[in-house]
Amino acid sequence: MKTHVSAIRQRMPSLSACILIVIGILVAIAAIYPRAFTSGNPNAIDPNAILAGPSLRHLLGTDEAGADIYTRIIYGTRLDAEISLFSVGIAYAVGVPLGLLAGWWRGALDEILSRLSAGILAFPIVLLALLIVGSFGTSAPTLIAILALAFLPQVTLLARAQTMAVCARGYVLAARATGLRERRIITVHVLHNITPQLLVLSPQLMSQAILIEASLSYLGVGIQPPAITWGSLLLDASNYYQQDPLYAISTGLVVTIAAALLLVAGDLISRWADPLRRR
Amino acid sequence: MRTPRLRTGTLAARLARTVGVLVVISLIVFLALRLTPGDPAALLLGPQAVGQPGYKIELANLHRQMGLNYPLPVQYLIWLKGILSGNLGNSNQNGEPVIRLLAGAAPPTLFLIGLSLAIAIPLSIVIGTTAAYRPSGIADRFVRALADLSLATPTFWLGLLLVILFAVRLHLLPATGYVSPLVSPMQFARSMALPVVTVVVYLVGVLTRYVYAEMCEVGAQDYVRTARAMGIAEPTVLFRYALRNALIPLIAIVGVQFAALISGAIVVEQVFGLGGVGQLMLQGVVLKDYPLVQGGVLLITILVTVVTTLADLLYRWVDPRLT
Repeated sequence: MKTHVSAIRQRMPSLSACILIVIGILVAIAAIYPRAFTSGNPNAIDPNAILAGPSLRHLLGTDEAGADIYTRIIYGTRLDAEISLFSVGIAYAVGVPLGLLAGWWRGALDEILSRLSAGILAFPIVLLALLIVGSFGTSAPTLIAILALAFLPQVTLLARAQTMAVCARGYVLAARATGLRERRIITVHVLHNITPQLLVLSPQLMSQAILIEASLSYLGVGIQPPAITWGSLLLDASNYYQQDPLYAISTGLVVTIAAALLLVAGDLISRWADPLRRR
Repeated sequence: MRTPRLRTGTLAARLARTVGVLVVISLIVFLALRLTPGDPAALLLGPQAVGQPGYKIELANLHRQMGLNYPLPVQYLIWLKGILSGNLGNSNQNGEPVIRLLAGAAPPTLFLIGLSLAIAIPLSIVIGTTAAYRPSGIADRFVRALADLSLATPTFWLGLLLVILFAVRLHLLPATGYVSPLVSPMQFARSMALPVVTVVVYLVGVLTRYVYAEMCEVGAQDYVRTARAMGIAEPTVLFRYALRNALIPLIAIVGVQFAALISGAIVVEQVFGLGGVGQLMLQGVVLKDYPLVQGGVLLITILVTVVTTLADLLYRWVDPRLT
């Protein structure tokens, strides 16, 4: 009986997973329809309240132009969500097939991809960003491209390593022995079995995307105003930290909490991906 | 007896791979800045020069002077030849050799990275080992949560918080600026304290996770169980038997994390106005100073590759199970 209960419990999402899913839905709503959380206009300025502290009118105070910080944070969600989702999505869309092929066929393709990956990984990401931003200027698509480029080798190498590990397993050998077509073995037997392990990396990369966006904004090479991202708010706040430390603290906390929640999600996925560690 | 088993074959293969990586890096750096809209020569002359008499001739002269009139592959080879002879070119802004500008800005950055590593490595070993001593214990959960938190915190924001607390509120330490240790060791220590703490927090977060995972793995090995069964005191088991083996992968991890560490250092040096390599490069990007940005990115990336390769070789040399 006891084992029965624990078997059911294993299949149920844990409490922390439920909480994360609810938060994820709330963030998605904020990104798609920010008015659900605030009636204000992120660019409406209140000349009587410049760098004002928190009040009932302005929950987190106002910035240097008198705009409501809470409203701006809510409206900043969209770009941050877009940047992290698209950059990681592109890295996966390109990296997973490349890694699968490199791990399956090995040989020259594998050599070239490994060298390219190592070459890109050797770039400190901020320098890579400076290099590309110096060339193409700052915009959301550029930033997404930079992040996707930086994440691509990580995804490719992970997919390659996982493919090689799975290929040595009995069921892949058996599938080959039965004379299945290569394409079917790769998509059904290999890809299907490495998907959980591949997914573990995605929330980590998304949290990195948010942090890097913030860093680049801080360095002045991020997305430029009037677009609102959490990083651009943090840059604003850091210019006025002497007059209004709370502005810097609240905007930084938003970034930290978002990144931390994504890391926790990664931990949960890795536990789910590795049945031996499910407790 | 352990003999160094790094066969020359493996070594040669490793070095050949490293050269391949370096070629990839040089191509990326070269192409990134050359395939861009915007003419560096026009930028150098400034917008006010446009339309002046003789502007076109001056522009053409400048192009020739900067080697921009050749086709791209030729430009690449000229550039590569210069690099191989140790010449990274001259800055577009003031004509100073790029290598001298970089060398001048290097000390704060190198001190920041070196000091942070020197503090973070032992610290993360102690913390990671303590957490792994009793997996799922309070210390374990606490340490893992803190490590996650440090990874989630934007480094520059942490630096900002430290400035708000220690410089603005408590007036204990300077908020910005760098003082060379040759000028005043005391002032140097004060100027580096907050930046180093900022980077250390980040590094400890990264490294502790690895030490922890390694210690958990090593702790389950037969030789550790045997050592415990023989009645050897727990601290000896932990530090003599387990830790020594757990530390080997740390060599490789530090190598792999080196690139991320430099990214962190660049941002942190901006927060504290240390005037290091990062700030120099940022200027170069704004002013479209191709040679400076190319040279800087190239030099740093080569440094990263060399460190990674060395760490990897050292790792293989220390651990004879890997060949």
